[in-house]
Amino acid sequence: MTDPGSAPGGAPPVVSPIADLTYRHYDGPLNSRAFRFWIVALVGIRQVMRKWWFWLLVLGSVWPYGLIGFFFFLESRLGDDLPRTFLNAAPGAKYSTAFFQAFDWQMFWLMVIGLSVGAASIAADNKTNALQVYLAKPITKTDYLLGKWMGVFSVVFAAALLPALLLYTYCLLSFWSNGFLRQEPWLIFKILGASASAAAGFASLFIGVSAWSRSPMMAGAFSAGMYFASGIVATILWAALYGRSSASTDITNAVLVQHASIGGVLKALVWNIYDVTVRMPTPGRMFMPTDVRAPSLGFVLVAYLAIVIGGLVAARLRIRAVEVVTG
Amino acid sequence: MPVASARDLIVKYGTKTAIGGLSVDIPEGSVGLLGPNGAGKTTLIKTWLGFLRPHSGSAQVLGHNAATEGLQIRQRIGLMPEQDCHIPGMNAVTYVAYTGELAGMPGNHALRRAHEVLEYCGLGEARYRQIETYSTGMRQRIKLAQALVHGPRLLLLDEPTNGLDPEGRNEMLRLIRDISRAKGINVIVCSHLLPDVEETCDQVVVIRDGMLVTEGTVQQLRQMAGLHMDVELREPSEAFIAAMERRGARVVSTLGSKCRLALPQTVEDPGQAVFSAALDTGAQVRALKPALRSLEDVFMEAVQ
Repeated sequence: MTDPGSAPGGAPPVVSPIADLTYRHYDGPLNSRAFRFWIVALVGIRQVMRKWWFWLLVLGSVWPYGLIGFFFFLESRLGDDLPRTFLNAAPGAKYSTAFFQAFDWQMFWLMVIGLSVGAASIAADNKTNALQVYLAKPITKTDYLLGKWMGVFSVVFAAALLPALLLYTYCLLSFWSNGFLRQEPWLIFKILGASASAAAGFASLFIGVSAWSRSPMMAGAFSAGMYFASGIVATILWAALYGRSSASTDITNAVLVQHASIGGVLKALVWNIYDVTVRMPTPGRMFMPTDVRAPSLGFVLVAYLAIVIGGLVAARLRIRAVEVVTG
Repeated sequence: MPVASARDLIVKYGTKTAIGGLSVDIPEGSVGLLGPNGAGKTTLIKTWLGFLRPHSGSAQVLGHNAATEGLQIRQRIGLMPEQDCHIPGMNAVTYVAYTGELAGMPGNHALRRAHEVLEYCGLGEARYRQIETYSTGMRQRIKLAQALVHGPRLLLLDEPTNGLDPEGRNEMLRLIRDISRAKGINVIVCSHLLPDVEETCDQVVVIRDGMLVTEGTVQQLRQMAGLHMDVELREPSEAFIAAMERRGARVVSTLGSKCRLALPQTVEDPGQAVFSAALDTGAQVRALKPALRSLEDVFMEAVQ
């Protein structure tokens, strides 16, 4: 008996390349639910990668590492003729200091990338009632939130990590014989940790704000306002408290206050991860550059966790399935 | 086996009771869920979807407990919400394929199904357009497409003809009829538009204040209490009416050559009574059938 689906002569069944356009039940395979959040994340990533302005922001986040790489190149060519810069950091921390400096310059761009991706992520869904679509599918609120968070995190993480990895590869290939790996064997992990912690901080903050808005523009404006306002307040506080301090004053607290903002906390955490001494202008010393250590990790970690957990909890509270059907 | 059911279901929002002890079975086929605003229809749907936990009692959908197996239920049902909703920044085929992937379909299967379902819903030509540019009618269709993409066994349609022009409404009703009758998908239609329910549903469940008021097939509910007959004559005949009144009948209404008669319960064979009166008066009976009410009459009677 001939199978109606098989071709004449016992050849394998012919599968039409054209889909049957008549609706019928789906009885094909189903993926496991474990990574359903990743589908949500992927869509967010794909959507942002189609925007031309995103690539401009990515370019902005690449140049600091390009500049540092250029300095390294000059140093390898000019040697001692190069003026004293961060490249002459303490022994064993030269590259960490350079990477931290590049991250410091890059951070603004990471914030803008995180803002442009994260502020719209849930707010845009709120605006178009997309939550009704999501939550009527077999995914949980946690899947949805994790997917949205992962979408922002992945973009910011990649934007932070890829240029750093490029510079790392350049250093590895160019300065291998100068003892690059021997001097700083943990640098690659520091780069990973710094990129991940900044990305997690930005993702949580912007997702948390986005969940409470029905307008991506408003969410973006509020997030940016919060970010910059906290920075301004911290700077004013720092200047007011320590602007008149004497040269003998312990500057540990001054540095802590200076970093008592959203951006400051993220930078301070990365500073702790790279564990370097930075030369920066200090009040009480006529703002002359002074060698400064990172703020206390304990305080920084508490503030960082408050940002990350606070953002996630705020978002989780707002994603409510009971609004799925109204009327 | 009912596709959805509730047993002594009590659902509360804080201290406010939205459903107070509802017991109902939704049979297979297409069922209209009717009730005035605040009747508890939406709360019942939320409970079936697993979004609200019953205060007491139980709710089941396709054999799954709604309180504990919400994900399994949502895997097997499709929801077409009342409100306009879509995921921004996508064209139709990407959107529908994405919702398929959310339901667990592998990407290539979801994309293929998205094309099929969009074609079925009449959006084949517009599948690559951004959803933001769609008209109201097209948005209703895409809501239906995303609910259908993963092959649900039960479709919950909340006001499916909202905002549609007559042509769009007819097309949507045709789709719903085809889904439930030709494709074998169970459908629950929540609508305030009773003609829509009448046109698409075999069964009707009416609830009010979170309680079941009445249920049954549309035909059963439309049948009038007592013995009512609709008679159509070739031409109006006063003599026929008088002859029927002599036989104990009461004229409920007349319209041209048609009249509705209420016959006494003592009449054993209404057809025999009508035809004998026509014979006596020389009237010619063109049509004779049991009188039916409109679903609107049934609804109004049930909720008042």
